[in-house]
Amino acid sequence: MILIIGGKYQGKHDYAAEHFKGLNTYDFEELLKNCGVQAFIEKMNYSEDSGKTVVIADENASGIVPDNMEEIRFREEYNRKLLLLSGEADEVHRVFCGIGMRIK
Amino acid sequence: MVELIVGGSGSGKSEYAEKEALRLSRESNRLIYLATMENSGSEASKRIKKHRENRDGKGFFTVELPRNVGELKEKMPASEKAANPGECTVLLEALSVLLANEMFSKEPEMPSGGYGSSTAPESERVGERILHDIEKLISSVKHLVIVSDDVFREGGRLQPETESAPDNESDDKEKGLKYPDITEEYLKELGFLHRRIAEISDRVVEVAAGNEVLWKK
Repeated sequence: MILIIGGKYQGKHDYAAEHFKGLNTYDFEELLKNCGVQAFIEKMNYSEDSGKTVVIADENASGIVPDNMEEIRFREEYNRKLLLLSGEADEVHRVFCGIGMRIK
Repeated sequence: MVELIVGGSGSGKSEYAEKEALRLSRESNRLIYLATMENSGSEASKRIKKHRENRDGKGFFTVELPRNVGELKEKMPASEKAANPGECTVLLEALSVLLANEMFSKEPEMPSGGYGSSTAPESERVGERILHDIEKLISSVKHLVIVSDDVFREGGRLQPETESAPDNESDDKEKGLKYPDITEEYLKELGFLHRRIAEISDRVVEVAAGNEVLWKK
């Protein structure tokens, strides 16, 4: 499984389309909301699709800590699960100004 | 040579960009600081004056152009026009400020609030229009160094869960973290500019705590 991270509007989807054409592409936040990241990882572990899968995630933890618990919890949950997924990923790429860098 | 330099606030990107411009200007005759910041009051003007004096000492000639940066050549004072602009190294600071000016502040001499004498059609998106201005600038100078801000990794504020009205499916697809529409629009246009300018740049650098991360060389 390939994980692509980066800030908003940095060109992550274009990067995925260019470098990982034809692979199944998932939005990390959709995974988080719909099936759960743990379940997704387990599915990947038992599936031959793992090698054909790309997950795209926004980086969102570089701002000031929010002033309410709901947002703090959301960010914490989001980034803890992202870390989990990143640990399982075969490759992690970070996109900046449309340019990708493999960081794992 | 075109170089894009991006970093967070206080990352040291301005100092880095100044060094780059000085390095590049060794092979050109003139060093121009293209200041996009608008003078919005006495505190701003004090800061601008201080920075300007600091740069003048290093050989920069400052031109203030809060919008329509493609018109640098026309906006140069007569005393400077003798110098061939094609030999100039230009440091543009900052793209993020230029976009904010073009999106949010009206041009003083344009009561209609239009976008000035840019040759681009009015219907064009603001990012495209600025990109055209930048391309025009690139073609008229020897080296261009562009400074901009990395503002894309905070995400935004958590959106309240929309009551799942069946006819309102689009809202369910909204991202959890989002800024108000006008801020999202700004980020989208700045992201567009960063991507497109990175494509036409020879060098793309992220500055973090004064250190360079080379994304394109």
